[in-house]
Amino acid sequence: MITVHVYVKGYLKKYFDRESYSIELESKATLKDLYEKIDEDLGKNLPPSVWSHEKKSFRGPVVVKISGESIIDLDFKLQDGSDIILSRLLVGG
Amino acid sequence: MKTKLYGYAGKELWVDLTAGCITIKEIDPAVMRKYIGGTGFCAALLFTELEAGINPLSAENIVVFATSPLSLNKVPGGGSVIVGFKSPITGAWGEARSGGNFGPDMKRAGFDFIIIKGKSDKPVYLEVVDGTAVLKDAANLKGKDVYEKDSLMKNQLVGGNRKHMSAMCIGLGGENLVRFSSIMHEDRAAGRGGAGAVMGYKNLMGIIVSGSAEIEAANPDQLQKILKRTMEIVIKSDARQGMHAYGTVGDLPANDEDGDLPTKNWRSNSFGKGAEIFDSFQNNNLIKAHPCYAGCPIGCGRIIEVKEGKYKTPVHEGGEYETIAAFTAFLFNDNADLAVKCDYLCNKYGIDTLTTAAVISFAMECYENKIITEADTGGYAFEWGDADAILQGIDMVVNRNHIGDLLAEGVKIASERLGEETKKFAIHVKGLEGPAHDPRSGKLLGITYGTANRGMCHIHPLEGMAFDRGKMDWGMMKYGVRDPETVDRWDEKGKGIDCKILQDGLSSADVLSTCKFMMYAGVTIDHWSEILSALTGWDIDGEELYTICERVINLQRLFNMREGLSRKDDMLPERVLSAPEFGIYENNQDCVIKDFNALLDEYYKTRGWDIETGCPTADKQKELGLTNILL
Repeated sequence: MITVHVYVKGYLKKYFDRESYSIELESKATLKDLYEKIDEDLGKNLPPSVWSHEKKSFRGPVVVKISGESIIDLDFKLQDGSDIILSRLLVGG
Repeated sequence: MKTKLYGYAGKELWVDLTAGCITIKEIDPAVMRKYIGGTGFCAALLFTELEAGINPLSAENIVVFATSPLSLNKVPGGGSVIVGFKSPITGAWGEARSGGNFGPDMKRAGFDFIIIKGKSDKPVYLEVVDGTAVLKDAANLKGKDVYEKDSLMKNQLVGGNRKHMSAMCIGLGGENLVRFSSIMHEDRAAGRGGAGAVMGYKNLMGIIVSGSAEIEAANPDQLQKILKRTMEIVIKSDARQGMHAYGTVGDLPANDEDGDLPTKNWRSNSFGKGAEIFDSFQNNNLIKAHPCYAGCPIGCGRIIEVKEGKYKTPVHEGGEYETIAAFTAFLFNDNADLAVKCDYLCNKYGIDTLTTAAVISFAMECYENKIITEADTGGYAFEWGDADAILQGIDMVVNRNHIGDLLAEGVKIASERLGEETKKFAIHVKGLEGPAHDPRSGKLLGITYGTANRGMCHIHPLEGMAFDRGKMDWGMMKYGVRDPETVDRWDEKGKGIDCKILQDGLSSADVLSTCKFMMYAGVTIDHWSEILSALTGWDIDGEELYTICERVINLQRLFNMREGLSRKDDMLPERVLSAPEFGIYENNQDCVIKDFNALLDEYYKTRGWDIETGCPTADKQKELGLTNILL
């Protein structure tokens, strides 16, 4: 098992009951596995404006940063102790 | 001895269509130093050259295409051009911006500014190549759509296909004097305010520019350093990641939830279908991200299509938030394919997507109230969300058929002609219809809508909801704006002050003819001033650029005052000042601006404007060097 630390920033904060979470995942877990866990544990609190229950992923411009790098690839392998920052931007337009 | 002006091509191209005469003038260094370019140059030129009270659709109006020293592909946001004119839809200040390569290519062709006067007695287009220009017969362009005109001008270009060439043109909307016609640059639009109609009246079908001139910077090493630094800031920013991955339409679900999605002609601020429409767009319409100009580090544009069915379109660029939101929520339509089709048609015909959706929405409410009937609509039932009515509405507007002839005048004029009972659902400020953001999501947007010089506009010069909801400060806290994290979106007090500071700061992108989204991605007015200084050799810091922007906003305001506008024209429509009639914010009083007059007072005082009239005081004009515009 690995533990990753998830920090919620900016606009997303209003949808979570805390600003940080420690989440346990299987040792070979990927970003997709983290999303499944979020859907399972927190998904019911996330509105459709930011979370797709069908796809089990964020909807719209949510940026996922792992160790400071923006990650899009759902197969990205997570490391034990990784700091993961979730932030949702209002992009304008 | 003449001082070399770095950063500029150095020339203005004056085209008198009445005389068929083209004149090349040197740019005036003193005017450049005072107004830089973009909306600044447009304000100085239009204020001094236009007589007050002229008909915007007359030979007396002028259309200006304006760049700045920053209009270079290598500058973040440099792929832009500003168009300045007296607006035929507001009768007041008109400005519009288009992204794309036209601005940088205009400078390569040898000109910082192109100024169009008069009226040709036959259709013509302007070809500008390597420092020379010629008016060409456009008989074969007349009646063609935007894509056809663009191709024809490029195919007919002297010397054939060239590496750097860009065209802007009008569509059938402009030819038919639809008052909200845009000037198109491929699928990009100088969209708001009706510059396309002004060009159409002048019988100018388009402009093509091409050249290979290099713009010399005063301090190339310094420029390279600041460009590298700002490019890194943009690329590493979260805003860039979000805009590149999802485009502006990515905001649709959250805007809906936050009450920032005007729905059913502004009867509500939420539709409840934003997430569903966004998913449909992402799954069925989106092909890939696309930068609007070569070198853009963000790439917020979308390449899209409707693959099959009754709304099938070719592959094209579009799907921007404002358009998709307007052709869904404004009209109570939940079909993303239909919205994409409308987007495509508006671009093809060269009409502003926002005003087009707004006039059809207005017509639907008139139909609901039996003010217009099927006798006016060519037999179509203009019911909310009705696809045939929406598509036929676009066709009627472009061709000025049936009710379209009236709708082509815009909501304000249409309402005045249809009668007093339509006034409550004619949603505009100064004659410009509202975009797809709702001040019932945050109060700063209300004061922005009231006071923007071109009318009810969300982004020229400021996107108020990005402060209230997005908690963006764009680096303007050092200029006195409050930390948005400390301000509740429903608060009112203090937002007149915040609005003034943010308007001045964010108009830097308009004065510099750059893309404002770079400021969302971390480029501040201080960065802009560093780039400007390296290009020109001037020692301009952020504070001075801020003052120049304030000068420009005040000069635009004086332009509007001279046209007879006053405080009353800064008021918001009653419906926008009322609680939503339905949706998740139904009757929610938090949404409602409690005292808009107090907000205006606060804003006027901060600006140094007369409280009664809204006119910049003599002291303020003197402080900003506006007692003599050009010196």
